Amino acid sequence: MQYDVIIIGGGCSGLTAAITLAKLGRRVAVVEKDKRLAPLLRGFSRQGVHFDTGVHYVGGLGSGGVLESYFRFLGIDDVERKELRPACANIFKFLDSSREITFPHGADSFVSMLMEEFPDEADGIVSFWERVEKTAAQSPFLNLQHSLDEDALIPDLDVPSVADEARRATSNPYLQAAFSLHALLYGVSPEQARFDAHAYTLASYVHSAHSFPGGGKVLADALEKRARELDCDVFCGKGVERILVDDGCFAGVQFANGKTIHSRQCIYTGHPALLPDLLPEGAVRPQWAKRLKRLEDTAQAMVLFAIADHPVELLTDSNVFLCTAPCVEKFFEADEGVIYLAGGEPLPDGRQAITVVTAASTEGFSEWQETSYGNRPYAYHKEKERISKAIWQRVQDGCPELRDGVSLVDVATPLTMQHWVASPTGSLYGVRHCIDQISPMPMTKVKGLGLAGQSVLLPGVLGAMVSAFVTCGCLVGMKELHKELRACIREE
Amino acid sequence: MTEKEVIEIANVALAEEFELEMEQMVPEARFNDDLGLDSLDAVDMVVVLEQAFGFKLRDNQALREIRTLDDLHKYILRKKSELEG
Repeated sequence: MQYDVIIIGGGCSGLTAAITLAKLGRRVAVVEKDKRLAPLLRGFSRQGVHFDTGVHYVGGLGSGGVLESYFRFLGIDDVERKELRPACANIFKFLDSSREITFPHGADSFVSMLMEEFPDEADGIVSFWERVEKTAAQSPFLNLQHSLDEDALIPDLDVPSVADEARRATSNPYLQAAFSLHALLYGVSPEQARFDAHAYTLASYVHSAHSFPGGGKVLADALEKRARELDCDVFCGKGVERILVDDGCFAGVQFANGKTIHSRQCIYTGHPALLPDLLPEGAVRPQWAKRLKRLEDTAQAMVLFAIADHPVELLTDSNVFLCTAPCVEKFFEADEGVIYLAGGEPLPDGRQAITVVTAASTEGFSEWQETSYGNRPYAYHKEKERISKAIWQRVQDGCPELRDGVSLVDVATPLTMQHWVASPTGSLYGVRHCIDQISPMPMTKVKGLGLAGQSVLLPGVLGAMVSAFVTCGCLVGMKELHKELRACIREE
Repeated sequence: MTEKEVIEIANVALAEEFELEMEQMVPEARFNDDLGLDSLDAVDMVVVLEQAFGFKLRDNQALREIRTLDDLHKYILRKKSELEG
C-alpha cells in the first residue's frame, strides 16, 4: 500500500498529526499497536464507573486560549467541556500546617489570591508572575502571533530551573511550593524542571481550566471521528516491527506479520528511546541513537482508582494536591511526595470516580519487570497492595471527606503504565524536559522521518498537539500551516 | 588544557559524533556547506561538546553566530576562559 504519510502511534499526538496532514489532502495511514486508538486517553471502567488515565483537566481551552485554537483547527471544538470551579480549580493542602491555598483561574484572580495568602511577598509575587507571563507571551507555541521558523525549534539552552526562579522570588517555602505546583502536572521535579516549560503550563492553566465530563474518551472519539472523516486509514492492533529506510530516506514500515506499507514521510509518536531499534543499522548516527536511548523520563507513579458511593464536593470540578510539607525537592519522592486527587463527573446514581496519583519508582517493582501485564505473580500484587494501602491512608488523613463510603477498585503501578503507554520506564509524560537534558528535535537525519509527542516539545495534551503540529510543519512547510492555525484564534 | 588541546578535543568529539573525517576538520571548514551540519545539528553539537569538556556551552545567541570550525573553537576557548576567570 502506498501513502503520502504514515503516522506511527495513534494517540493524541498521532491523531493530531493525521488530521493536520489529511486536511491538506495528504493520504495518511495511522498505525497503532493497541486494538483501539488512543488507549491511554480513553481510560477504562470498573463497576460501571469511568476512570480517566490520560487526561484529567486541561488549560488554555477557554475563550481565546491556545488549546481552543488547536481544537478549532482540528475540527473538534464541539467536544463537550466543563469549566472547573473558577474560584478553586486547584486546592493545595499542606499537611504539616493544615494550610490550604486555593488556586483560582484568571490571571488577576490568581495574583490577588497569592497577594492575600502572602501579604508580605508582594514584590516576589509580581516579579515571578511577570516572568511567567513574559515567557509565555514570547513562546511561538503558545502565542500564535509569533512566527514559527526553524530557529524557534531550538530550545533556549540556558534556562533556569523552576525551583531557582521560585527561590529568587521568595524565601517563603509555601510560596515557593505554590509557584512550583504545576510541575506536578508534567512530572518533573521543580529542581530540574525548565522554567520556560513551566511558565507555558502555568500560564495556560491560569488562563482557564476545563475537564471533559465524558472523560478523555470523548476527546479520543472526536479525534478518531475526524481522522476517519478525512479518510485516514487506521491500522489498529498492529505494532511496527521495522522502519524501512532507502538510501537515507524513509520508505515505509513493516509489521510483525511481515506485511509492509509505504510512504515517503512518517511521523513517529512513540517513545523516542524505542525508535533506534526500529531503524536499520547505519540509518542514523550511532551517537544519536545512543543518546535517544539514554534520555531521562518524567516521574513514574502509583495510580489508585476508587469509587465514592456519594458525590464528594471537594473533588467535584476541582483538584486537590496533598503536600506533606512545603518542600519542592520532595514533590516526587516516593512515600512522601505530593498526592494528586481528581474526581470524575458524579453519576446520576450519585457515585463518583476518584483518581489518586503519586510518585513511585519502578525500582520497587523491578523484580517483576519481565512478567507480563495480566500475568503478574502473587508477590507483585502483595507489594502493590502494601504500597496502595499506605497511600490510601495518607489520602484519608489529608481528606477526612474520603474516610467513609469510598472503596478502592483498582491500582496501577509504574509497570502498568509501562504496558499501556509503551514507555520503557512507565513514565507519566515521556521524556522529561529539564535543564540538564536537551529534548529530541522534531526532525531526524532520516529524510522524511519526524518525531512528535510529549517527549519532543512540551508535555500534556497541549504539548502532544503542539508537537504534532510543528512536526507536520517541518514536513509540509510551516508557513501555510501556521497561517491556517492562526485563522482559528477566537478573540476574547 | 592548552589551546591546541581544546581544538583537538573538539575536533575529535565532532568527528566521532557526526562521522566526519579528521582531514575535514580544518579551521575554515563551514558547518553548513563543508561539513553538512544544519542549525538543528547545533543542539546535538552542544551536547557532545559539553560531554567532552565538562562545562556548559549554552548560549543560543553565540551559537547562532558560529559559521566555521574556527568560530566554534574560539567560542569554546572564550567559555573556558570565562569559567577560569
